[in-house]
Amino acid sequence: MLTVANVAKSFGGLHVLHDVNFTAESASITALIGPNGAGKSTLVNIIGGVLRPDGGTVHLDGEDVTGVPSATAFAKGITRTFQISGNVGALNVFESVAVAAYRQARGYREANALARAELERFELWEYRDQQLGSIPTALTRLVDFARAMVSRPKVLLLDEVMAGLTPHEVDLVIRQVGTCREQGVAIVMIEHVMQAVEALADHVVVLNQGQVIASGSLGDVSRNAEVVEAYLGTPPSERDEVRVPADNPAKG
Amino acid sequence: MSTVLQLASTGLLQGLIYSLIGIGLYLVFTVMRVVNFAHGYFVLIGMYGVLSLEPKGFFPFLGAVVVAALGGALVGYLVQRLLLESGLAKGGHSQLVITLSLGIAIQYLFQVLHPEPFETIPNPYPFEAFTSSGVTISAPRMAAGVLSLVLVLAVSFLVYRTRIGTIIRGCSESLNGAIHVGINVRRVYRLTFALGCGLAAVAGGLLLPIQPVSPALGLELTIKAFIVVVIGGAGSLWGTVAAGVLLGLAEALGSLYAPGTFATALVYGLFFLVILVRPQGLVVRAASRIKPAETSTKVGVG
Amino acid sequence: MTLRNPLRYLDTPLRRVNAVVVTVALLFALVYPYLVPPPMVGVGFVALLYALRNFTWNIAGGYVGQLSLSHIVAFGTGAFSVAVLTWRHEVNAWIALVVGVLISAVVGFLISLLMSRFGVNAFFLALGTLALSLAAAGVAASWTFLGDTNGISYSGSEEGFAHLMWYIDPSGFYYTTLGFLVVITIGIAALMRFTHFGRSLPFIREDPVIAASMGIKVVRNQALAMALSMGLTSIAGTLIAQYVQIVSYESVLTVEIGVAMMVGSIIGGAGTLAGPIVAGIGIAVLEEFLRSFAVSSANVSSYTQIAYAVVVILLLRFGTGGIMPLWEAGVRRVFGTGRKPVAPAAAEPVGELVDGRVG
Ligand SMILES: Nc1ncnc2c1ncn2[C@@H]1O[C@H](COP(=O)(O)OP(=O)(O)OP(=O)(O)O)[C@@H](O)[C@H]1O
Ligand SMILES: [Mg+2]
Repeated sequence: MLTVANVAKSFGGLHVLHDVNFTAESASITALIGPNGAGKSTLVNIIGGVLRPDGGTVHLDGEDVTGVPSATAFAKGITRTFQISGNVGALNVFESVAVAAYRQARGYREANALARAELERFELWEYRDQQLGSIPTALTRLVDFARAMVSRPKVLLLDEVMAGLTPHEVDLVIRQVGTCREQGVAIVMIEHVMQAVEALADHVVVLNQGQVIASGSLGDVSRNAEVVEAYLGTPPSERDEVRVPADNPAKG
Repeated sequence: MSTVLQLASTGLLQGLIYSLIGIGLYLVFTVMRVVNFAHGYFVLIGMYGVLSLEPKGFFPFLGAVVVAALGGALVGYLVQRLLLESGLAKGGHSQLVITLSLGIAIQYLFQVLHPEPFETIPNPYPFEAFTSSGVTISAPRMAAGVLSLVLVLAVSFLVYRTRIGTIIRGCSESLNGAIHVGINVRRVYRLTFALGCGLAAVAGGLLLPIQPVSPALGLELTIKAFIVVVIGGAGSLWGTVAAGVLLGLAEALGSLYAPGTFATALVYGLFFLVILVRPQGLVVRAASRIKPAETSTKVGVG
Repeated sequence: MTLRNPLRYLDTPLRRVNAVVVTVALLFALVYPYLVPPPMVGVGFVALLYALRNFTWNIAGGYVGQLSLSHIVAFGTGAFSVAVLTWRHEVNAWIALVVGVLISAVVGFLISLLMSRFGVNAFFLALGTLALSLAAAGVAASWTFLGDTNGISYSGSEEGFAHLMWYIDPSGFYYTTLGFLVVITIGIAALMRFTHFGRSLPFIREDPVIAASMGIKVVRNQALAMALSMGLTSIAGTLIAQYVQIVSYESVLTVEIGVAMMVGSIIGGAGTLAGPIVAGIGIAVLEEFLRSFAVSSANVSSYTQIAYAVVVILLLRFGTGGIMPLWEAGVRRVFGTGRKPVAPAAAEPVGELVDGRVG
């Protein structure tokens, strides 16, 4: 179980997060949604150890993991995917997954076997020899997901893994996330793809301008006035249910 | 006492030359974020340029210095245009290796052309030496120091008081901003690089009558230029000037207490420590400017 | 452990061609001293030494991307340790070699650790390590313990493998260096392929943030790679010292040596296994070629330095990754990739269906 309490973060004068609280239960999927720039990725970076929070705590199964380095967070079982894939073009697909497998594997053979199984599950095996730079960008996020999964994590943070995938691939990912939940992982999923949120989320947390403005079931939050305003920029009309992020503008 | 005074004044004058070399690198390093490991070799181009023109008398010497400076600037322009420009977006690595290799190539080219070490020219100035209160300064040293100071002032006037300077500073502050207001950044970069290299070559010409030239000098001068720029900080040109004078004084006075090679070792060792402990402390703005080029390709933090 | 057919690795044309080339090259290297007169064996030794030097630099410089010039210090440490310990104090040369390796490794570990702890970027790493090397040269030049400006000359009479010394016939040096090169190459290749540490290095080079998020201890592994790299570079210093029998700051602590390692690796292909070796041997052959035109020996080194510089500038300017990537692309072109073509990239997704954001 992942518990985030009173987390705050600012960059220079810009307050990106204030007083964020939420929990992600094991064996359940928490969808973290919110408009662009709400601070979702920043939150993931804090939990994953890339950034240090200015205040607040992060606990994993009761253990304080606030501000630990990324490598330690990974060793303790917190894995994540990156929204923007970084400078990975020259890296090999198979190696990307195999190296992460060393959290579980005791040696070369075992790491490779785990990596192979994972790549096959994600239908990425045919790309194993390629460089990340030479496969479609959307697939690099799938590789990221496979890499996170191969380490058998306790907490999985997915930062918009589905953006740009084909419907078939979205189905594949939805299945994989579901399997992952069955294995008892606490999943935090940042997602703009509503199809996925509807299909998967046990619990939804809405972040806006660095604050949690609503949480509960998808039905609950989409009836919440503040949420509708955050997404549409206007007070809710008479409609009693709005398909929440349907109007979320494309990113620049 | 008079030894100290003597050393201090030679150190000061030598330091002014270092300042001149340093501001050439300062322009290239902080404005363009180019790590020019060949900078000291442009000083060498100035020295060998003047040497091979064999000027007799004061005005031919000045003419030779000007010609050498233009030569250095032209080479600099071509280097920027043909070798560095395409790699500018890529940042760090390739520039570093290209300029380092370029320096080596220049050094060994001169090694082949001028196998004799320690060549120099006779005093080109119409006077011999100045003596006052027990301190004697040779004419070339005095003239080199004074001319360096004049040039330093001229460059700072150029950078802080003219339109060209505004454009150069604009590019250094915000590249995107400069592009937005329609500045031809490529041209500014080429000219800035040429200016930096030209200044190095002038310094070389002035240095020649004081310091005999050998091809190996290029590396030493490159390092000294970096010492001046890094210690001086990237905040303003004046830091660089001050650091140049400081280096000259430290070298001269250090020779009182330690034998030559050991004193230089000490300077390099201290420089290493500075880089280790306070790379961003002493060069706040340079560090923050060098970084974006690197981190922009390494987003990772989504 | 079951024994499987080792030939199963040769599943692509590139691997097969490389296997043939490596086998032929190794056989040639083994018989080379029997084919040529002793002076040419000396040239062979120098070629292998260049290869060894480049290869060891490449471990930190190529695989991890630490553009270090502190390898000059490692090279010098190897040379001075045998000069001080063996020539002056009659310690066995092999012990001196090990001492050199250990000192260099510790220095490398500390440099890398300090620099990455303070977040020093690639440029400051190069500048800082250059300053350090120059400082070391200055110290060596003014310290009688390290022979100050006179250097230290060989004194001794024993010969043979146990003493790492051969007077007339350089083939002892040749085979020793070949042995080191082969063992180190195989060792590093295995390390890079089979261990977590080795496999993590390319990730650290490309993106430290992502590397850390995969559980890689970036700072520690960087420092270990630097220690390994500098430690092994020291072996090359020891070998050359024994061969030329004189060591001074001017012969082993010059910036040219550091640049030659860096540039040699880049010409061959930084981060490739064979590139630095090929480039090292190539440059030695080039030197010999120039010498055969009766170019004076001082000018030979000048011309090779210029050639080095020009080649590396052109390589970087035109964006090729060095000899090995060119070779691989060439072989693939001639013999094909030997893999089934990957299915064409999936069509662009239909935005609206999957992604609420597409307007
Ligand atoms: N390193 C940084 N320095 C300065 N500001 C930052 C930094 N990282 C993020 N920000 C700012 O913090 C805010 C939140 O960014 P964040 O990436 O967390 O948003 P997000 O919710 O993930 O948005 P999106 O849906 O676009 O991914 C943005 O305004 C962004 O500009
Ligand atoms: Mg985001």
